[in-house]
Amino acid sequence: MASLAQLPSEILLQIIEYLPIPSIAALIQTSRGWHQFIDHGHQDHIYQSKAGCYPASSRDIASFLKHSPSFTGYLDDVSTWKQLCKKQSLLMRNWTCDRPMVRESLIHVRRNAVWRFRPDFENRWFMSTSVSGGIAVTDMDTGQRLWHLPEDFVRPYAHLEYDKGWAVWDKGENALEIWKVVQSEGERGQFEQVAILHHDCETRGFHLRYPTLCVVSTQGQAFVYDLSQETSRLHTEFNIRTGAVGHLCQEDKAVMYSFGTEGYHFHSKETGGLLGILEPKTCTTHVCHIRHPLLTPGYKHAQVEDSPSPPYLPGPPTRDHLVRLELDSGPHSRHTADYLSPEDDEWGAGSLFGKIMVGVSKSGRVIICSDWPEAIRSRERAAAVSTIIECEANPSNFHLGGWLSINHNRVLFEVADSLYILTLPEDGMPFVHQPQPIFATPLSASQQHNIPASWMGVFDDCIMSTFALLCRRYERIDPTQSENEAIYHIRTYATKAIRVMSFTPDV
Amino acid sequence: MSATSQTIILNSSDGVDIPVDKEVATRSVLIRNLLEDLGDTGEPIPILNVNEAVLKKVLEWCEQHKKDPPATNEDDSDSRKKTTDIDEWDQKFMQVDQEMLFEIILAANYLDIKALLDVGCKTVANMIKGKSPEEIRKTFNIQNDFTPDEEDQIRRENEWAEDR
Repeated sequence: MASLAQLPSEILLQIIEYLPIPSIAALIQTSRGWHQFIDHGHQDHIYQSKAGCYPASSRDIASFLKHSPSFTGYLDDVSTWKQLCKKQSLLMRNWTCDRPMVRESLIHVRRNAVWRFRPDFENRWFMSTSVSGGIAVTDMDTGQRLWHLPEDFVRPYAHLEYDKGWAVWDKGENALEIWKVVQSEGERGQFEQVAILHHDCETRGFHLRYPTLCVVSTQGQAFVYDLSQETSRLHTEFNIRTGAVGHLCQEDKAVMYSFGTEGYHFHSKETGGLLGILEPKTCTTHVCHIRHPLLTPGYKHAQVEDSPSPPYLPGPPTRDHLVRLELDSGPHSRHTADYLSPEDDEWGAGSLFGKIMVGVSKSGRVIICSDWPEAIRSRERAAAVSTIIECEANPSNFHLGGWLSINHNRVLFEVADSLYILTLPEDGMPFVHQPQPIFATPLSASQQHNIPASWMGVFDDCIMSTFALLCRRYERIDPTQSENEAIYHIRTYATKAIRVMSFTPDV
Repeated sequence: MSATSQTIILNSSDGVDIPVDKEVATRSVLIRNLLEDLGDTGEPIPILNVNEAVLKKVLEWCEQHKKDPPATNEDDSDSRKKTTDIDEWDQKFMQVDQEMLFEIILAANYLDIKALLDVGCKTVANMIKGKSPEEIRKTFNIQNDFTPDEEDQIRRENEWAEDR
């Protein structure tokens, strides 16, 4: 008589491939035979296929981990696929539970207010530009400055793009600086200039996904460079509509430009041809809204940092940094007439992750499109695969320039004074069908001091954004006095630091 | 038997001749290869590992699926995305006792009928999904041979994976 245990192992393994991790765990617990078969006989094979969303080409743990960006080094001590699955499951659970446990780190780049920044997890540093000019490379773990260019070399409010050791920032007068990390045994984080790219039209934005740099102008031109080539060769130059607002994002084959009220235009990076247009205003099938978070910041005590450059230390774990929000179906009931209607709303930053596209508008709408190549085929298809989420914006002070970020199925965006985190359903369905927890957190330490984020990113184990806060600096009134007798002025100044919220659970 | 007739004869492991449409039988890669190697002699083809009852059941499935397009080689290596959805006819087809279910799986494996093997594996996976260890033991008549200590230790080792 045939029984489950008598099936050949290759068939048992095939059955297990269809099982989620909790069922595999249950099977292990049924008998010695099953425990032996799964945990000793075929553990690596079984759990490797269940692990994470990283390149399936990762045949061994080491190369998998190399491609798993992590702020906390959460996976560093992992040596088997089962351990990896365990840690991933616990991390995932913390992201999606009702009250995630997070640790906050504030990383100050000297006393400079950070403008744009980018993390490099492999090299463990941040690169950042500043409100007052200059660029800096700061160690991610110690807060120590590794390299910088002073204010005379890099203009204030410079936009920065960074990927795999390559940095691009705007020089002013429509020129871009291209720099790359110096590969040497010597000091870490040193950069050297590779090229300056000049343009004779007004360039507005640029996006780097090494080796491809896409540049957009307001006057109807677009450029695609290949930085891996000598002198950063121009790959394609083509015409787009005039009036691009400056936000753009690229993935493998396509580049997407934001056009305000007209939504998003997708072009081929290879030929420059228009692939299609996504107009959020026509996506009216799935609309839902988030009530404005009444953020009661747990920041009463953090408003003023005593030291201008504290050593990097993650704060204690807390469940109070994030406010859980609810998603309701239908549009937001607006209280004022200041909001732009869906027809007139202006769409700004947009991001692509594979087939997923997300974008944010001036009046606090967010579009989540689960399949943009499908959506640009027709308005009907766009409406079917897109969800519009309305949030309460503050129309008087919200400028077209809100940021957002997407990583796998997690989206981070900014509306008004808050940072929102949401998790998309895995099956690529429109968002409304399976609402996962949504969280928000303030972008400033005090509500009197609201400053929009100037960059944000969501990663596997953390979110990062700029964070506005007041700092306190002690200055000796008379520098000649000895330390014991000195009398100090306390000067308070406003600045922006890099805030990291780590979702790594305690194991 | 003439070449125009599309009927061939299979001989089950318990010695029963079963006439069947060639189109139906060649859902099995094993039979297709045998026919190619041996040529269409009209002789019964011995199916050594499958008895009459199971072979008839398998051929019933092949009949239903004879028009299916050949399996695409879309081997999705990301097993987290593997669905266990089974179409309605197949679900009904698989409503058999466990012994028959495993016999069908073994036959599909031996006869090399990948789509049927997949349906069989999914059916078993669906019988495991969502169940506690004790419920799985009951379903498949598995003897719990752990000592209480072992059982406790293995439960703790796998606690992280529990669905919460």
